[in-house]
Amino acid sequence: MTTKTTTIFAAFMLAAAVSTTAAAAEFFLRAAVLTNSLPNAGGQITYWGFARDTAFGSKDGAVTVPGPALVVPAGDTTLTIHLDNDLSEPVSIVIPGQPPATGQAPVRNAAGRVTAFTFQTPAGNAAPVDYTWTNLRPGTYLYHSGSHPAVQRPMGLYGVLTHDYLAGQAYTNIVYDRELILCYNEIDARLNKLVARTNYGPDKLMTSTVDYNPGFYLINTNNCTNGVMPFAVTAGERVLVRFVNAGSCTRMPVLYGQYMQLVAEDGFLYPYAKERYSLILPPHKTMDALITIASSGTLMWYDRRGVSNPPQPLDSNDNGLPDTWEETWFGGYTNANPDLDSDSDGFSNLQEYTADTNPTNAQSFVRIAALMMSSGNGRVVVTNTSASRAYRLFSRDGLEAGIGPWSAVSGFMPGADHSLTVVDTNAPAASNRIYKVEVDLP
Amino acid sequence: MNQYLRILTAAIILVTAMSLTSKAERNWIDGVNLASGGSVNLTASEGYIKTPEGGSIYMWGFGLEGGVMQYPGPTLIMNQGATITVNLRNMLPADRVSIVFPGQSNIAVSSGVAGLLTQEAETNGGTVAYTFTASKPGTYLYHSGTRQDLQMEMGLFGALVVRPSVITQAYDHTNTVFDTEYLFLLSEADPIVHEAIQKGHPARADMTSFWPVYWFINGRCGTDTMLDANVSWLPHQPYNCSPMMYPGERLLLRFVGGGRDLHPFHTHGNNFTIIARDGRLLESQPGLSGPDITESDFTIAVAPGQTADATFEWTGYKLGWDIYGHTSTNDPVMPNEYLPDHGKPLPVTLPNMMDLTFGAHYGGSAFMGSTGMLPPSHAGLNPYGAFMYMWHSHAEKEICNNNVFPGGMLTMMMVMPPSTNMPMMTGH
Repeated sequence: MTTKTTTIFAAFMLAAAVSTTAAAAEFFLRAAVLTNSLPNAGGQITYWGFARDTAFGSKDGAVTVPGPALVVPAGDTTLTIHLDNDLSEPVSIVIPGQPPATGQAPVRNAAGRVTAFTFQTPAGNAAPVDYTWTNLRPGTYLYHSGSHPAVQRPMGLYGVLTHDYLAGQAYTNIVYDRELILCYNEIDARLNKLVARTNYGPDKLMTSTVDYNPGFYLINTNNCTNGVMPFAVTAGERVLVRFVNAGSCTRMPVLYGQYMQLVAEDGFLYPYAKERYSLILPPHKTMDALITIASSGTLMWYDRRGVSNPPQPLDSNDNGLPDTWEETWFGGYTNANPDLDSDSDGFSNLQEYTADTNPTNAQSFVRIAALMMSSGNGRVVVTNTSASRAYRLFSRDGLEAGIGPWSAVSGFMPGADHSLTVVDTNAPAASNRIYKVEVDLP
Repeated sequence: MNQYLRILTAAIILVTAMSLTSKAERNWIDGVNLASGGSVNLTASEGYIKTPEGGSIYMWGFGLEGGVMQYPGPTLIMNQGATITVNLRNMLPADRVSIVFPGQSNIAVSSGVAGLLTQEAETNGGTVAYTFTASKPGTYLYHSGTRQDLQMEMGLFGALVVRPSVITQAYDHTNTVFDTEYLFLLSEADPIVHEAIQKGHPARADMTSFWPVYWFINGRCGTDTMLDANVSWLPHQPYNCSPMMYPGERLLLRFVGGGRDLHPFHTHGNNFTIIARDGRLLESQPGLSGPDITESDFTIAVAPGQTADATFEWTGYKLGWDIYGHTSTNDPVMPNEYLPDHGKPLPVTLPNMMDLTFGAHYGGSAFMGSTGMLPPSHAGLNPYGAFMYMWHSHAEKEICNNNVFPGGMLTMMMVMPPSTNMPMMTGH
């Protein structure tokens, strides 16, 4: 009798489970433009990102790069993404590792080459274009645009999708209390700028991504110096770290001060967990790690392939003159010729940039404006100086042959706005001395 | 069964090797002996390294106090359970420096100033001290935790080796026993970055445009890797990498990624077996099963900040001919000879000497332990009749020194005839 009751109960549970698994997850995503600023990126950076709206056309979601994290509830077996496209070219959505519903086939151009990995959502679509996945697998995944991937991936059309096996269980027996998503991605400010200014493509300033050279290495939306990102934790909790590389460069996350258990890769559970403090995270890879926190404090991550930001301002046309400088003085980021002397003051535009002087004002150039003796020291006044440049003074006691070469009075010293006075403690009291000043970028 | 056989083979190999070279004579990696703990005083300072094609690169590196800047920093060798204190003094003029020890935990820090990852030493003589107990054996590294992108490129890193209680093993398991060990600390350099720093233009050291053209094993470019350790003309690059073995021996290869790029390191001659990564054995039951989920491969991706241990053996297994040139099965069997091929002739007719091109490492004979006639002015780099294999990065541009081949991450591994006496290096 007891046995029979149990059997009936089990059957009831099974039925309940089936009804749950029949549920489907739905998201309204919109591809749109986003701008923000990063240091030395030549002004505002234009991205293409995803936003999660409440309904098609509501346009109420925030556009982010990476896009919103999509959480498919445990038990759901089907996912539908309704796509809206506010960009100027077709986009689409693919999820490597998840089985797409029928109908998602590569799009080819007239020459037979694949231009998108699935059917596309045209720019400014009036009705949502639906992408569906069935028999969803549990795990950590990357979603990204499957269209024009050389450009749309670096522009920012990617995000993370997670689907747990059971509530609080990422995979079979991988139980966690809290998750940390680390979505590694990177930005090449030049590519984003030239795509946004329609100066990318055949016969344009940037012809392809063969020279892709990211300068900003991000984790989620954070511009992290050397990939250092602290994360506060509490003793005893089990933290699931979901690593996703949405970029095009291999990254090396290192957990400092402790080990983690690598449990899964690309949504597949390892037969044995791997105890590591680091992992190789190639582009488009996902990996999951479990850390049981021994004591409360801060988890510290760094990236052995991470860098800090570019130290020099963006120069899209690589002519030695930064974009912002060309825009300020010549009205456009490709308008200045470095070899021309636009204001006829004897200094080329490249020299004016190097000296941080005004290339459109013939009176604006670095010069030695005054010499004086004070308390036995020579004082050399240099004008039209800049706080963001370095200066070095040279002297010699005559221009005739045999007097000797120029010798440095000072090492490079930081400038000041408008004028700088350099002291020569060896200035002769009763004879002539000739000075020259050198100015350079820091 | 297989596992049992492997253990048995290892035991036999060990016994055989012992009969050839006593334990005291085995090759150990060079470094600072901190076996039972203690303290080591490191100084971060500047200096110049040499590259084989005549170049010189400005570097920052760790050196022993009172000594010179080293690239890489001194290899610290300690026993499991020992506690060491690393006292760092920073003699660099412009940058703070610190040391992180990935894979170690509970690192106590004293003095210094707060930094991104740990306490840092101020410029021009600032100090900081790090103390930790090595709880597990294995291969590790240490490196600057300050402006890593620049400072590791400049050379501020070194290897850390922790030995288990049985020091002839790599780890706490009998299946990790080895005869001889070699370090492969891989790194690279972009001279434009070094020149910018040397000339006082830190803002021109753009690590986002990093483009290395030099590649190093233990701080030396090929073919300097094959010179002795501590040669007088490379004062800032004391470590070499010149692996040698007798047939049947088991080498332990300790791989460490010191740079910013991944390097596909390739062993010619045979596969290696990766037994550990990041100082942890590849085992199905941690602490119990021993290395039972190992990986056999011929190229390993040595990744930045990561370490791996591999074993390598060579007997002439399945060559298909008798490596010693025996022509009859009645000839005497050499130690650890691969028996199924004993007495099998070389299946080709050796060409006439006039039709050969002579590589510098050819000993004049196709057979191990034999030498033969070589043309006048031949380099004669193989007087023992050893079998020599190039071990190198499989990214071909990485075996050049600024576009000049041979160089970079390259060395020659020598399988020495059993009858020869292997030159022995001292170490710890």
